[in-house]
Amino acid sequence: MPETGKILLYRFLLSEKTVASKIEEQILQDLRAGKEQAICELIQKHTGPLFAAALGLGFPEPDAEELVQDTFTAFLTAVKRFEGRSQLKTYLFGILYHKASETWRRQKREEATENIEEIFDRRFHKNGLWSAPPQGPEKEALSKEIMEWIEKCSQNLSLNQRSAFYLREVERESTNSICKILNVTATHLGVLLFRARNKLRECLEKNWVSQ
Amino acid sequence: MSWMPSCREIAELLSHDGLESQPFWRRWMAQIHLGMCALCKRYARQIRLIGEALRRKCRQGPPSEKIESLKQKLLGLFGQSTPRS
Repeated sequence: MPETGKILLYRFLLSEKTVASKIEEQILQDLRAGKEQAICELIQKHTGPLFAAALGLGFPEPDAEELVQDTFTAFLTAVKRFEGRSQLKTYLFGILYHKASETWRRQKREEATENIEEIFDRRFHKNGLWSAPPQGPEKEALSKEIMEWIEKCSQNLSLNQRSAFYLREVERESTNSICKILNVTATHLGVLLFRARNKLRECLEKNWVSQ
Repeated sequence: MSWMPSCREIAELLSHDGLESQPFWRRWMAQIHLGMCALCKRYARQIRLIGEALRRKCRQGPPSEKIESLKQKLLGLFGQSTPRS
């Protein structure tokens, strides 16, 4: 692309971003002022994604609905303190994750204790070559059966592993946003994703082998 | 070939944050490795399959009538009861 074209593209993208952030700033001002229309717009825009995320984290529908309601309650109570340093969506997801952790603890869900690093260690020789190569069919298609296995296997993930995996794979959030939402470092996020993906893969492999 | 990432390094790269976040030369080396190593290629395919399964499941999302009824409930709680489109 010629230099002038690049400059024009960057200017367009920057102006788009500025317009978006100005709109968000206006909405925030209206929310802080308690304007009913702004609250309605907030609910209209964010209920669907928050509800989908709560379900995606593995909560049943009644719990997911309650989590969304608690998220809006917490946000509207604290909106005057929200400085707008992160995007509204990121901030709402952060509250949802926090509320989900509370629910998770309250329900005393057991965290899986399987040490995935040890399993990973056993799969490789010291020189880094596979000692126990991945098993499974040569060409795996995404069948209904595999979807069901994965859903079952994902119950072995901890909440922060699920959340990291959901935000990365479904919401396609950036590392920076996920770290803000989950309040973790980029290194820790890498570990969460590593554990989530490998736990699911190991579980899936067991199903393939046992067939 | 010390410049070539090992199978373990490839598996770690794929399951940590994917190849996209890696610098160009490392991504390139990983692609060469994946082109030559059937086992790592299988591992990469399985990791991709798991991501796809989650995306497909979640993209279906909750039924629209469920979202609508939740919106109505929330609008009744926090805002006005008649939604704006």
